[in-house]
Amino acid sequence: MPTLRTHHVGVLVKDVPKALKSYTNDLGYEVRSALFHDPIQTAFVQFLALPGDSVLLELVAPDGPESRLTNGLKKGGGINHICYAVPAIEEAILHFGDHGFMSIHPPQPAVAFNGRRIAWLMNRDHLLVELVEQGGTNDL
Amino acid sequence: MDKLAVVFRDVFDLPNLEIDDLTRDNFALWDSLAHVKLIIEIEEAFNVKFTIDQVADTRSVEELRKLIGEKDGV
Repeated sequence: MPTLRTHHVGVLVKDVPKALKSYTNDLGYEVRSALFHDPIQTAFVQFLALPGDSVLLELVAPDGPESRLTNGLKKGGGINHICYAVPAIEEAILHFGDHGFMSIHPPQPAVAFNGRRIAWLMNRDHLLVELVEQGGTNDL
Repeated sequence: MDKLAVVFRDVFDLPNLEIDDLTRDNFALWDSLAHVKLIIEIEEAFNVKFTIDQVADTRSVEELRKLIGEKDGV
């Protein structure tokens, strides 16, 4: 079984800066990254965390009306996915595949993770899972 | 009742969607995430299981109908 570490929970929002203000002012989150545009994911993303918490919160917003996230936002947005950091992404994909997850995207480099690859899967309960290659201590 | 059309209409939240000519190339909402959602719902509705290759290779309603193996009323 691959070693999984919960990396972040993704929350789909209309507008990242506006949502960020709410999370920082109202709930005490701290900003942990710049605002990134990822053209492959057709999204703007930014990471936050509660003080002392190792699990990040990712705010995700469509980068325009043609974004693949726009349809999900029409259904209300909110909690969108859970992301696990894994030491070997191909091995982890095989493991998830053996346990009922279907691959949505094969591994692709992600802007927010400095080119570390991410992959997307979903199981029959519609749980959307992102896998990210584990980074170093100072990486997101 | 066209069970496959019901699945499509539910997944895409389009109650009047006509599906017969749909392909992943001519229907922009049918992206890779929607495709997996469709497969999950089709497997449940038709009590079938697809292989990983079948999931990846299927790109149209016509191909889905063949895969499901029902000729009439699907």
